[in-house]
Amino acid sequence: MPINTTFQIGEQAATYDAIVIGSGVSGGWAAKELTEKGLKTLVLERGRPVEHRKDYITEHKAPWEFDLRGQLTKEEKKEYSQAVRIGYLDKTALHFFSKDSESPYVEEKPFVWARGYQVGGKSITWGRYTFRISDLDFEANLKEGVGVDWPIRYKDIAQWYDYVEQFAGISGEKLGLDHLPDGNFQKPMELNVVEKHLRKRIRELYPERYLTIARAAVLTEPIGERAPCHYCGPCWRGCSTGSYFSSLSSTLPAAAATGNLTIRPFSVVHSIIYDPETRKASGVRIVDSETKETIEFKAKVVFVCASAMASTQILLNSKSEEFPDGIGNTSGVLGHYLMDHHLGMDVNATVPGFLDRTTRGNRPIGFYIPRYRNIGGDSDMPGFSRGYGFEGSAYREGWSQAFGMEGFGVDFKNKVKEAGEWRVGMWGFGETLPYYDNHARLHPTETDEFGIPKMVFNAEIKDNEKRMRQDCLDSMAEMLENVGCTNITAEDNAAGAVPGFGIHEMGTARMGRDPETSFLNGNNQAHEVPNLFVTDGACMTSSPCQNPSITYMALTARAADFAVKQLKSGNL
Amino acid sequence: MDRRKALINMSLSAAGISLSASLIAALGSCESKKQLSYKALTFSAEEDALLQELVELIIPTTDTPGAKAAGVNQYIDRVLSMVSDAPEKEGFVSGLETIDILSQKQFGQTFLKLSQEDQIKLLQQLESESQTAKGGSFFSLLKSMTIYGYYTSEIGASQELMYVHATGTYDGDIPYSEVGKNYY
Repeated sequence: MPINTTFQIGEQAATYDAIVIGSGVSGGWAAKELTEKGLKTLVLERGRPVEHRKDYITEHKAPWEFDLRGQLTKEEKKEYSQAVRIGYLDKTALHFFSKDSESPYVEEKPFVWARGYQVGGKSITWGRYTFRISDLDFEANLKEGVGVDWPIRYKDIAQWYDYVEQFAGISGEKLGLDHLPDGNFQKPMELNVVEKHLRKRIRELYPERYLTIARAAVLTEPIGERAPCHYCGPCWRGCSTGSYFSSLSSTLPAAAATGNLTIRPFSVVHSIIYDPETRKASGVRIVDSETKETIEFKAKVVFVCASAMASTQILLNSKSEEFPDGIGNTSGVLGHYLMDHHLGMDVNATVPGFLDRTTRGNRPIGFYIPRYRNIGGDSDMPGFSRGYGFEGSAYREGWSQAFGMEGFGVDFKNKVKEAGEWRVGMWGFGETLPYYDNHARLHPTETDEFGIPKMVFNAEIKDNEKRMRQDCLDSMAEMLENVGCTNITAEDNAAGAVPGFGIHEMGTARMGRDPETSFLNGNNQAHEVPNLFVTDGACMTSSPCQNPSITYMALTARAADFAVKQLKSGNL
Repeated sequence: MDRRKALINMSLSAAGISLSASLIAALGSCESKKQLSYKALTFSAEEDALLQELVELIIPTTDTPGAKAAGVNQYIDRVLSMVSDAPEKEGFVSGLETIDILSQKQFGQTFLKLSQEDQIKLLQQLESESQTAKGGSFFSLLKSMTIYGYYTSEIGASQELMYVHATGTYDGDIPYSEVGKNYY
């Protein structure tokens, strides 16, 4: 039986128990947790409404049903001139990305700021890979004397990983690795015949290296009305069966079901209002993007979940006599220690044999090779700290083999018609250290159409990342050769090392133990403003190479639990 | 519609697959009909006739329709005007002119009047020169646009290749003979 959850937008009250800024992965979780704990909650979303199912306008469309087969027109490439550098923007999901021409920012150094300004945020288009971070990650800064120490350890977050994974639905394989902790997974998706072969060969030669199916927020078993994956492939267009986790399929309907949720789209947050008498945030000031009207909403607690860079932009722009450099920013760390995963470490090879085998179905995820460097013992590397993981897949070369084939005509066509060799492609995700220099700040004079200062980005990878990239390419090429692959290419595509390219922006409002060197404490609570919480990627103290969203989910649920307990005990 | 009165309906149902399948059926297109009513953005009628011949030589009709029936000329026409930058578009159009100039020079008549044997000979020559000659780089662009346009067309993707949609399950190891050809 379908659940129909309808909630109204508009006719907002002026005062709520809680305000959540943003409706993506983190904002959706904040909304669900706060409303389920009884708080009347207003979710402010700067973009348009998106309705689950109805607004997945490209779902299940065949390639020939797109004009220009989905390629962007010259005009569209101009509107998305900065975002197109990610390389995969096309008409299949363009409507879930934001126009750079409408939301301008400044690249003092190259920076990709891919945004999803809509109800659901980037949870509609996200990569869906979900790996826990471990004490190897939580302890690294302290052990190495890099940045500041994380104020929490794995034991503080483990139960919250359990909690969010149960609701989101994570399929995957348990490996028993300390540095990639297991969860309570749904049954894993299947590795294909060649991936299984590679896994076996790798383990024979490199006992510490694993090739496993990705752990992903894509269902293989139903959860309520959400059905298991039907293997159509391109999740990022939206999924009518709710088979992958998004705010639209999962958290916002749960929040709406409480009767405590109001979502207000077209609400561009200008700033958070600070009350010097209570020394707390008293509410949020927005600009209605349709009417350009400025409106203020009051609340007892404010959760900032606007995406890492946008959250920091809002915090920096929340200026008052007490906080001339942004609310809660006496330390001056706000905007600094910007991190992203560095990508563009691309390794491809042919896997000989298996020409009588193929697959059926469009599996929406690939395999994962967890970090195998600097995890202790022989794995420790003299040249760099931290590490990288690999995503990838094995596949029979498809029709695109035609681009590299000589000739034309009947023989050519018949050759393309036959599946090609088995290929394996993989790409590394590397951790970036937190550097003070790597930062985002407000432009002193230039603003957007809402009068909000533009963000200026100045960040880059440095020596540790560069040495890591070389090892990443070398070690993987060597491994593939040793397991019998041929035609191996290992390329450093520098575009992938441009911060923001990974769309895993982290840091800039980091957690820490000391208010003088960090913005948030161990509960994602602003050191200086106790009813202000930041739970998206901005809170990250380091950038472990695992895909980060599941950590934001866990931290958000944990912070919401803390905030509500504090509220109820009269501390906020 | 007044946004302030607008509703977001969050309906969760497992009916998504069947809905979408019927949507796809309704959207099925017939590309051969489109060839008749198509209005070119980039090419004159003469250029289009030449282009149709060229794309069909690259991916001809076999037991499945070729590039001409798949409307690859229309695809290229639209891409050049709507996607390509000006130099690429101009380069392509002048590349088409070069075909007839070469044809006249070597065979004494326009490309369309040549025997298929001579047409193929000329294209083979262009392909072998494709690293250096001006006409050669035109050939590379023509070939890659023909490949992309054909294999993403309904004919290319679902008749020539095997187009699978929502299979409901994933099988990572089946005999190739069960499929017998390349997937889209």
